[in-house]
Amino acid sequence: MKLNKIFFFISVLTLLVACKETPPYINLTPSNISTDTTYLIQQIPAPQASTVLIEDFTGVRCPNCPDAQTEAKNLMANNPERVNVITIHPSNLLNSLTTPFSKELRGDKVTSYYDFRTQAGAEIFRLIGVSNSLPIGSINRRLFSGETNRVIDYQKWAANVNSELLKTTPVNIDLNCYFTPKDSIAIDLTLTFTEVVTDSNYFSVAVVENKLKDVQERNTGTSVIYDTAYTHEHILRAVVTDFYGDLLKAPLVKGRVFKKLLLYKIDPAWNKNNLKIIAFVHGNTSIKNVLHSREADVQ
Amino acid sequence: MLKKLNLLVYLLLLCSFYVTAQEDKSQEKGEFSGNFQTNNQFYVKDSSIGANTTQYQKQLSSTDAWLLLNYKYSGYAVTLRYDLFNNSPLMNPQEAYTKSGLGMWSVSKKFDKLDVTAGYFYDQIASGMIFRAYEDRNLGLDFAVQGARLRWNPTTNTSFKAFTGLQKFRFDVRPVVVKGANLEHLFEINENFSLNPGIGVVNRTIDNNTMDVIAASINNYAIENRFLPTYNVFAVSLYNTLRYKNMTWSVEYAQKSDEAIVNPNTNRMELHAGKVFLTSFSYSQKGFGLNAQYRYIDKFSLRTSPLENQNLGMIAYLPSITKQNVYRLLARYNAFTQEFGENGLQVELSYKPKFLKKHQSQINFNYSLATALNNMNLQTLGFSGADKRRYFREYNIEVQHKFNKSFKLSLGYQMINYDQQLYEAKPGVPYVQSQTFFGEATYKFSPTRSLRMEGQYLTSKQDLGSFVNGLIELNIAPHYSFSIGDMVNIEPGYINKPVSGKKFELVHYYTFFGAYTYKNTRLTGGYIRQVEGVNCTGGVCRVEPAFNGVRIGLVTNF
Repeated sequence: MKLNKIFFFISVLTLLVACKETPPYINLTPSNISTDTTYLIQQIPAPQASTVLIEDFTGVRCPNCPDAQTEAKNLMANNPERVNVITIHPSNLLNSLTTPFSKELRGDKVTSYYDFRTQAGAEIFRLIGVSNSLPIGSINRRLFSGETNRVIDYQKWAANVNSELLKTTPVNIDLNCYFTPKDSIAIDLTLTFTEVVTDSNYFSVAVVENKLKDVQERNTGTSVIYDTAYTHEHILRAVVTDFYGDLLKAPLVKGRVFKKLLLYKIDPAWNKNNLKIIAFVHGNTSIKNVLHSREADVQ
Repeated sequence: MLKKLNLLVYLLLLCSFYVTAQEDKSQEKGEFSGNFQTNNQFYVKDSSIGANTTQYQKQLSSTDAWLLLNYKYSGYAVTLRYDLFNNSPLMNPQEAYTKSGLGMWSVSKKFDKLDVTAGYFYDQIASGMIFRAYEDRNLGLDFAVQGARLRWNPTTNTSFKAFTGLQKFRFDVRPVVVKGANLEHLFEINENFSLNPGIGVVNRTIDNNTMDVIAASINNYAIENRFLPTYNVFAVSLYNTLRYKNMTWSVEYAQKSDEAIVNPNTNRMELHAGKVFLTSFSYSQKGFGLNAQYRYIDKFSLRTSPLENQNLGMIAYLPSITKQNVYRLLARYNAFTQEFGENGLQVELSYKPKFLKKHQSQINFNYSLATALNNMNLQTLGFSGADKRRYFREYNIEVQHKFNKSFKLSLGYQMINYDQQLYEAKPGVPYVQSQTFFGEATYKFSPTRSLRMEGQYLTSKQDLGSFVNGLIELNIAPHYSFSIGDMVNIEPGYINKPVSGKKFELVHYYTFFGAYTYKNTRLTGGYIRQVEGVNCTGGVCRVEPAFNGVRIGLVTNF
C-alpha cells in the first residue's frame, strides 16, 4: 500500500514537470542575405562618430509611454545623427499594455487601425531582458553600473546616452538602401573594423516606419485619454536579419571589412515614403552591447 | 551570499562544539573525523617530451590541497572541506588556476527513518547512468550538488531519495537546476535468491542565459540544421540486480527525452533522445571467476548543458567498461566512452588450476571491445587483425605463480587496437596496433623487507613507437618504500619519426620515488618524467600533457 502511494506520488510529479515548454527563439526562415563577402584592407579609415541606439519598448495601452517617446525624440534632436531609435511593440508580452484597441473584440471605446506588435520585438525584448512595466528601454543594450537589467526607465536615458556618446566605436557602418523593381528593399551594408574586437559580434538590420497616426492611450497629467491622432514614430516593422543578429564570421581585426547585400520584400501595407533602415553591430550572448548603429533612408 | 553561507556553517560548527562541550559530560560523545591531502609539483621545462605548459614557463610550481572535517553528534552531521589550488593544472592542464576557500559543506540530520541534507552532497542513482554526483580529485573532478536531499527508508529493504540542486563548478555552481528521485526495494526470496529492482528519474532545466548562448549558436547554423532546443530534459532509469547463489546478474536501462547534444562528427548541436543499456554478469566459485559486461549507448549525453564537453558538467556517469590497467605501458592506451554512440563489451576470467600446487597459480584473461553502434558483429568480435570498425580492442592474459613464501612471479601479454584519431582528436594519425609483454617478480627477504621488479616491452609502429619500461621497488615495512624506474622510447612511431637524414634519439622517462608511512600518514616524493597520454582514474579519462619535475605529496587521516 505504501509502495503504491510512492509510485503515485512519482507519477504525479513526473506529469507535472512534463508539461510542454515554450522553446527559445530559433529562426527557421531562410536568410535575406543575397551577397556576402569579407576581406582585409591596409588603409584603415578614420572611425565614425559613435552613435547610440535606443530601443524603446512600448504599447498602445500604456499611458506613460508617450513620455518616453518624447524623451527619445528630444535626445535625437539634441544629438543629430548620433541617436537612433527603434520603437518596439512586443507581441505576446505585457498584453494588457500592448494589445491594440478593438471595440468589437474587446469592448474598447476605440479601435486601433494598426497592430504594431511584432514577434521580432518580443524576441529582442527577451534577449535584452524582459521587464514587467512599460515604458522601458535599452541604451546600446548595455548593462549600466548600478542596474540589474539592460532595460531602464526613460528618466535615466539622457545621462546614459550622454556617457555612451563619449565613447569611440571600433566599427564603421556604411549603409545604402534602395527599392528594387520587385517591391523589395536592397540594403547594401559595409562594416569596417577600425580597431580589434575580441568578443564575437553580430549585426542586425531593422526596418522602421515613421508618421503612423493611430490610437494611443496617453496621460495628460490630469487624466488618461485615447489620443486617436497620435503620431507613432520609429515603429519596428521587421528585422531583416535574424532577430538576435547574424554572426560576423571572421576574426574582427583592424581592417576587416564585411560587405553584405540584403534583400527584403516589403509589406504592401507599409508606406514606402516613411520607411527607414537601421543597422547595428552588437553582441548577443553574455555581452550584448551595441558597438555602433546607423540609420538610412530608402531611396 | 557565499560569505553568508560560510558564516552560517562556521557558526553551526562552533555551536556543535559548544553543545558537545556542554553535554559531553552527561551524554553521548560527538564523533570527529577528517583527512588532509596535498599534492605539490615542481616543474622542469623539457621541450623534448613536450613538457612546456604555462607552469613550465612562468609559475614553476603548483600546489593542490584538501582538508576535510566531519563532525557527528546526536543524529546531526556537519561536513566542511577547505580546498586550495595554487597555480594548479588540475582542472585544466593548460591553465594555472589559483583559488582557495570552502570547497564544500553540508549539514545533515537523521530523524528515525528520514535523513535530510542541506548544502553540498554526493550521491548517485543505480550505477550512475542518469545521475552521479561524485568527486575524483586526482582528475580535478568535483560534481557535488549544492541543494537539498531527502532520504527515507520506510523499511530496511526499501529506500527512497529525492534531491534538487545545482552542480558545483570550481568554487561556484552552474546555474542549471538538477532534480531527481530514486526508489529501490530488495526482495529477499530466500537465502540464495534475491531481487533488487529500482527506478530513478532525473530532470535538468537549463537557465535563460545558457539557453541564449545555445539559441544564438543554433541561429547561426545553416537553415536546414536549425532546430528548437529544449530547456528541460528528463531521464528515467529502470534497473534490477538478481542474485542467485554464486551468480549476480544486473540489468539497467535508461532513456532520456529530446535535447540538444553535440554530434562529435559534425561538431554541431542536434536534437536527439538518448538511451543506454547496461548488463553485467558475474559468477564465482573456488578457483574460478567470470565477470562480463555489455553496454549499448545511443546518443546519451547528459550534462549540465550541451555547451559542456570532455569532463565538464557531467550529470550521467558512463565510465569506460574496458579494463583499467595498472602497469605503466599497459595503461598507455585507454578507451573513454563515446556518449554519442558505442557498443562496449568486456569479459574477464580468472582460473586457479588445482593441479598446480593447490591454487598457487592463477590465470587471468581479459577481452575488451568498443565499436560504433552498428559495428559489433561476428567479424569485429572475432580474432581477425586490425579493423578500424573497432574503436578499441584489448586482449590481456596474465599468469601468476607463487613458487614459495618468498617468491612470486607473473608474466603476461597484452594486445591493443586503438583509434587514436577518435580518442585523442589527432587528425590523420594511423590506427594504433600495439603488443606488450610484461612481467613482475616479488621476492621477500624477510617478513618486513621485499623487492619488487616489473618490466614491460611495448612494440608499435604507430603513435610514439615502441617502449620498454622497468621498475625496481624496495619495501621496508611498515614505514619505507623506494623505487627507481625508467621508461625508454626505443623506436619511433608515426608521430615522432625523425626527419630524413637524422637519427632517432632514445628518450628516457625516469622515475625516482620514495614513500614514508607513519600510522595514518603517508608522505611521498619523487622525480618523474612522464610521457603525454590519456590518464584514466575511476573510469573517467582525460588527455594529460607530458610531465617533467618533482612531485611531493602527503595524505593523512584522523
